[in-house]
Amino acid sequence: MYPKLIVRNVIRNLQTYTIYFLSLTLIYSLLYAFNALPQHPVMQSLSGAKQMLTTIMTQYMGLLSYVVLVAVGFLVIYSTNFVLGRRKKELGLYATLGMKKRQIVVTLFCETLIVNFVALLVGLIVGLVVLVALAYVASDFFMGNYFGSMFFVDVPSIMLLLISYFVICVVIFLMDMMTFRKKRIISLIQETNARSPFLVHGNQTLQVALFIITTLIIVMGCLFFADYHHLSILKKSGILLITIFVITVILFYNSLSQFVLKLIALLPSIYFKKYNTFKIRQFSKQADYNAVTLAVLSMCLTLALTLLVFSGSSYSTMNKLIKDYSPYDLSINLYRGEAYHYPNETVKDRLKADGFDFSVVKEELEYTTYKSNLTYKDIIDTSQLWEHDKDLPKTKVPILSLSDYNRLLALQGKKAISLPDDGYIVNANYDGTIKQIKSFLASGKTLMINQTPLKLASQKAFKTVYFLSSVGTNDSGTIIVPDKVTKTLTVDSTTYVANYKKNTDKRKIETFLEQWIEGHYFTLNGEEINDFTYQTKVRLAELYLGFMGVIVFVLIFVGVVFMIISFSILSLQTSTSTLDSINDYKILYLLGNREKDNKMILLQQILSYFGIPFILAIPLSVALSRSLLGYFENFANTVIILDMRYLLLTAALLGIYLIFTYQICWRLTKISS
Amino acid sequence: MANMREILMCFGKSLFIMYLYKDWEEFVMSHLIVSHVNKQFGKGESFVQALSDINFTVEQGEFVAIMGSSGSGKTTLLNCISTIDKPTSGDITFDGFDIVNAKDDQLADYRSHNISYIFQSYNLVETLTVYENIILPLQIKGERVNSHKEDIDTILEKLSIQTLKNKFPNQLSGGQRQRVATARALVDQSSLLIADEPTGALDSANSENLMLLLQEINKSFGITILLVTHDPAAAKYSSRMLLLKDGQIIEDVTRNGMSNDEYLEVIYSKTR
Repeated sequence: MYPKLIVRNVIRNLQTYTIYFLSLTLIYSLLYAFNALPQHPVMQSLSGAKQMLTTIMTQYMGLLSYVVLVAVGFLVIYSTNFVLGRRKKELGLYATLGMKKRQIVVTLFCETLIVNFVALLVGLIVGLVVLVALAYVASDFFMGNYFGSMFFVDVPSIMLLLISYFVICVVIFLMDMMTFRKKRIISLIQETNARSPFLVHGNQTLQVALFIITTLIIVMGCLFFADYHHLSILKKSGILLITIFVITVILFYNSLSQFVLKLIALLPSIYFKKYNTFKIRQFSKQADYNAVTLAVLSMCLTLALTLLVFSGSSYSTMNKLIKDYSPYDLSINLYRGEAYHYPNETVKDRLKADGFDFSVVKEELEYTTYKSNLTYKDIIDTSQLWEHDKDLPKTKVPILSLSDYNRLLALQGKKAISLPDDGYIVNANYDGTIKQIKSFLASGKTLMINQTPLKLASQKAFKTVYFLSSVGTNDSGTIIVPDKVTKTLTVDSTTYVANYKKNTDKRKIETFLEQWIEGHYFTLNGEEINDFTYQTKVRLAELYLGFMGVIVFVLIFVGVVFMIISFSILSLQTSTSTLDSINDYKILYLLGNREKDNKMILLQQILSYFGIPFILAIPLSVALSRSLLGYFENFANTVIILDMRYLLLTAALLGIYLIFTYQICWRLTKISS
Repeated sequence: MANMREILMCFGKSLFIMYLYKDWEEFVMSHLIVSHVNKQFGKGESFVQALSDINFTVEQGEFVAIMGSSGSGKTTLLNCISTIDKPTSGDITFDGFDIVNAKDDQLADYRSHNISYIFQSYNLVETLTVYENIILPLQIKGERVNSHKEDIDTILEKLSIQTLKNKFPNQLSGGQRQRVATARALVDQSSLLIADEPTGALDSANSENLMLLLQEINKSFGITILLVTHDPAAAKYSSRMLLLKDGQIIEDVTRNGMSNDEYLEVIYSKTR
């Protein structure tokens, strides 16, 4: 053991270890943050979501950890290759000075151990910050009920990090051993950088034909599987199709460079212009040598991009819908009529009497819903309603007074509307009836409500969500009439709606309401009914987000981890390729190329290296995202709006890796020149 | 304005060098002027005086061999002339261009227009074919490759590498590689060819072929050649030999019509 040498080597080779360090740090931080999230007080404040998140995390984190470890294994292989390439001569020197192969492996291993340990520490610190951010997002998404400090240290998650550290160390040791087992000292000392392509090439025409065939297969596959209905084929012959797909992608990358060369050779004026020959040849070398890795990376990136777009879009849509469908924190209906007990009291009177704490209420109002003889079958075509709306035709159409409707609008921060004395409008936003409501409005029918004729004041359906309901099942159609018309109508119910003050303990209110409603059940004709019904934003969120919300969260984590590992491997691979090309840049410089031209070529090379796996990753992920979203939309009976903002995360990560890679590569070529 | 100032400064400097220089006539004729060049490395105990007051001129079309034992400073001198390194003090001008004080971009332009290189390690881009390697200097200068087609064909023919056009460097022998490097050096019609131990990695037959080729190129293209070598058998093809020792020129021998063998005798006697 050479402790001084090891420490000195780490300090001297900081630049060599940058990408490796950056990637491990990010992975550790994400591992910590996502593992600690279910234990965070924000999640503890949500009974349903927390339980599900914990269950899912416990079920899948083990599996995910394996995936992450395999990916880290790849990372270590590329990192070791890069370190070897960068420090070949130095290690060769140790060997010629009498250091045994075993000692060299141990020295390298100890160096990586130190870098890994520092990454663990920094990763933990970054993880603490990421957890705070994640807790804010989760709190907003799952309607958290926690108002303390967001900073949280979770000891079991730290233990998990330590375990990961040791497992990663073992992986590194095995990788180092395997890399060095067959290495001969002479290969370290020799200058040659020549590498052979992983797969053998046939003749160029065959390669071009292969490229065209694989491209056609991939394009057709994308078009076919973009329709989620075709996903069912995977159930039957999934393994076979996936195997064919993987082989096709590998062959695509193996024949890519030959195709590009053949194509560009048809345009000599472009091929021989300035540095194009050099750039295209470098590109082709990279694509040739690393065809298999590029294929794997493109599939990894496909998965990462798909998961981010799919889970991100689902998250945004769910978040928007839950906010759209819950304009108030609380709504309580009090039913009027002979069977019920409180004909004259308001909801608030009753709540007060039963001990509700009104100090939590920021704003409130109470409105009345009326009914007449008018049923839905009187106003809309009920022949083509959805299955679960079969009782709707007989249901009486709810009626609101204009002033109540305007007060509700004001509570939601919307503008008031006006209505002529003999006019009416219709509010409707339920997908199951909106088509029928629109054709009713188009007919411009005059309604007779308790012998009062009312003319349609607007052919537009107003889409305000004025009462709380499950997402997507809101207003089938409500008629808004002038106040004086309601005087002749029967009161159906009175509804109290309220918004809480900031930092209100919503869980406490939920508990109160659950107990309170129990006290108002009574039996009528053998049926158990209640004077009241209530709905809260918290209950709706837990009901709606539930399992899918948690899945979405976990998928975002998986997507980001895959993305980081793909970029890390790309970055290390690019740096290794630059190492191989140092002499080429030196030659360009000697032949009179300016430094800034070399810089530009290098930058373009790096961009093209990073771009190669995206050639397939982008179309594949578009197809897969479409398919998954279609499947999910069908499953959840909702419409997901594609949210590409999550790709900004990809762009940001890509940007970070590009900057680091460029800095390292430029230094490599500069040191040499 | 800045350009004007640079021209005036360059002119002033040239006058000063002319004043310092003894032989006016020789100075006026000269292609390359190396004047009072010193190069030092390191400080304190690790201080090395690599070049010490080097003065010489080279005329257009000369074939100069710079010889010396290991550590004599020959590669340092070559690096300074080829603009890869800068002297600690002194001046180097090439056709009136001040190499020492030029900016990096100017030096890059200067290299691409005036200097060609042949190295011991060939320095061919491994990913490019023989043809693509040869046209690289033209591409760097931003010239149309097509308009040089005839010249390229002539060079390929002269160096007998036409059949190797589409091969990659790793498919060639050492001798073939060096011929490709020579073809690349000729293609952009530079006026100065710098060869740093070009025979270092070749067997004796290939060395001799290459040196004969350089000699022929020197004569038929009129290109000035600066050759660094420690091998008298390679130096015998030059028209002049500078011998360095401890960073100083200790011998300056001109062929003066001697045959290769006679000249070799003289070189042996000086370097022994």
